[in-house]
Amino acid sequence: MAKVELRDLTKIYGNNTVVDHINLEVEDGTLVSVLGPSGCGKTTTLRMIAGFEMPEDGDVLFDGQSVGKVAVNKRNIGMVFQSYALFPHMTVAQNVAYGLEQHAVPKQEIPGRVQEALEMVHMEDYAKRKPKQLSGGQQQRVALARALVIRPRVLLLDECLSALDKKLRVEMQSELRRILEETKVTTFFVTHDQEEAMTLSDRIVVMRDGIVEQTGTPFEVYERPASRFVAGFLGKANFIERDGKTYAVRPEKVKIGEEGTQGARKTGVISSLVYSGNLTTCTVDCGDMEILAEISHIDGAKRFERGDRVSAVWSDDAEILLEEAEA
Amino acid sequence: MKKQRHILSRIFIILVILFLYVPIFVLMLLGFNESRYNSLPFKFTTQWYEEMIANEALLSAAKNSLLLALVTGIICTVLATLFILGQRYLSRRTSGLFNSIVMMPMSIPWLIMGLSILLMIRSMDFTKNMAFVLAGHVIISLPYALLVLRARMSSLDKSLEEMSASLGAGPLTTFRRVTLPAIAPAMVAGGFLAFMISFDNFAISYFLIPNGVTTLPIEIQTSIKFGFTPEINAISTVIIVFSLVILLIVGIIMRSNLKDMLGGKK
Repeated sequence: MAKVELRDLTKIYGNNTVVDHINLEVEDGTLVSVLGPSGCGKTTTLRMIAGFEMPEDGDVLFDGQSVGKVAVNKRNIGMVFQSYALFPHMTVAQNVAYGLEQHAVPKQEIPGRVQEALEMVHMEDYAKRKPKQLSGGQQQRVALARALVIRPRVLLLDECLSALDKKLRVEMQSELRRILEETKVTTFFVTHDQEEAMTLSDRIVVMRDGIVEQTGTPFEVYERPASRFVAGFLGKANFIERDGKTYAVRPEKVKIGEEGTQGARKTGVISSLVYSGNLTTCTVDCGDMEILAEISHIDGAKRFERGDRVSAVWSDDAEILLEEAEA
Repeated sequence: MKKQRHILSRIFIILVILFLYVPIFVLMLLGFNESRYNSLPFKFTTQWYEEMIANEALLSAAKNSLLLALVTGIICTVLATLFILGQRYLSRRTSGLFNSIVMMPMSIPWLIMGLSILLMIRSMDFTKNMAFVLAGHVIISLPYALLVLRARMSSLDKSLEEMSASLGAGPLTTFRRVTLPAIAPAMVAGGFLAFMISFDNFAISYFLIPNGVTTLPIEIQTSIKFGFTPEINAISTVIIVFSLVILLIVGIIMRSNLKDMLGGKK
């Protein structure tokens, strides 16, 4: 369990700078999601924290101590890959015990620690199974137990939920949250799924093209995105240009009313209505731009049809000024 | 129409199988036939097996072949494993170049390979000895062992080794406890293939074998020259059964490992 700092961390492959002087400070016991589209350098960053990749420049510090020259096997990290990477020739219990054996834990303590770790992920009944006899979700739990049993200073999760189907993934998310709250280990969670990052993390680091676009709590990055990219990547946004500045307006903050509603910002024709149960996503064609609005189905609210002329309304608070209008 | 085609394809498959196996079947059958000249009618006897056991030249040749093939198999397994492991630290281009170089002997006819080694021995004034025979066998068998191991290695999930390192294991422990168990079946299979290539090799042995020593293929060839007896059928049958048993064992090892790997990855 450690505070982690990245200082000017840089990775270059050939003449391609994959990670470009990243600076980041993560407090002890925090769960940080590193979020970004594929190719943004998030996995490379994680692999540099782990020690699988050596940075061209910069350093990684655990509790203020540089680990830049420390080999992977001496860094005391816990790792979970997307493929889980369970050792196929070992049983579940042997997989979990492996790390303890490497850390020279006394032999008589190992079975107890293994049992404890498997109980934490509710897999104690599967100790004697081989990985191939487990489902994806079960393998996931074992991989997590194996990473945590060595009581790592830092836990690194690389897209580890993305191989699961949606229902299982949501289930594992809350399970993961519970386990990490129990263990209080500093965790980096690499993902390209913004919803997952929002629900899981204390802080979100949004990356793009090797740089950090924004760091903040899920609330901050969603409600106050710093750039057009962040606003667009985390959820949907309408971009309003006014006086040479760009503002983002979240679709759920846009209200739709009959044409001529007081305070109308834009007027146009509904070009599509997509019903998805809890809400309806409505696209209004305003001529110069399209406005996206998410309408919740509150009883008594007026229902609109495609082709209706409507006004879009939102409050001043809903407008988020973006620092820089990027193309 | 459809049914007809179905029957035709079955007949075709049966014909192919017959084409492949009838000669072997005839050989095995005639090993139990009384006629010294492999002629019919068929009368059952185990006489040729008894004579085979008494034929010391044949047995000593078989022993030589077995020993030679065993050593070749072991050497090829070790060399191929080291080669494949070392190759992982090379760039893709260098590694590709090395690949073509070591696979080359596969495309050179054994006859020419044997002849060239013989010429080398002569020109350097060495005398023929078993070490050269062994070297020749290793040269021609190694590419086959490499072929099997490379296939296995390329499907090896690198994250397994990274995982082992992240759990605190040094490179040697990782190799011993993670890499080796993963490639061991391919090592066995590759070694077996090398064993088989060496065991029935005639051309290389024929050029390089010292006087007074024989291997089984050479002994069989010689005895055909001086009159074929069904003892040859008998020993051939023994070899076939022996090969099938080994093949079966290797198949079982490879299969269970294949399942392991598939299960581990999802």
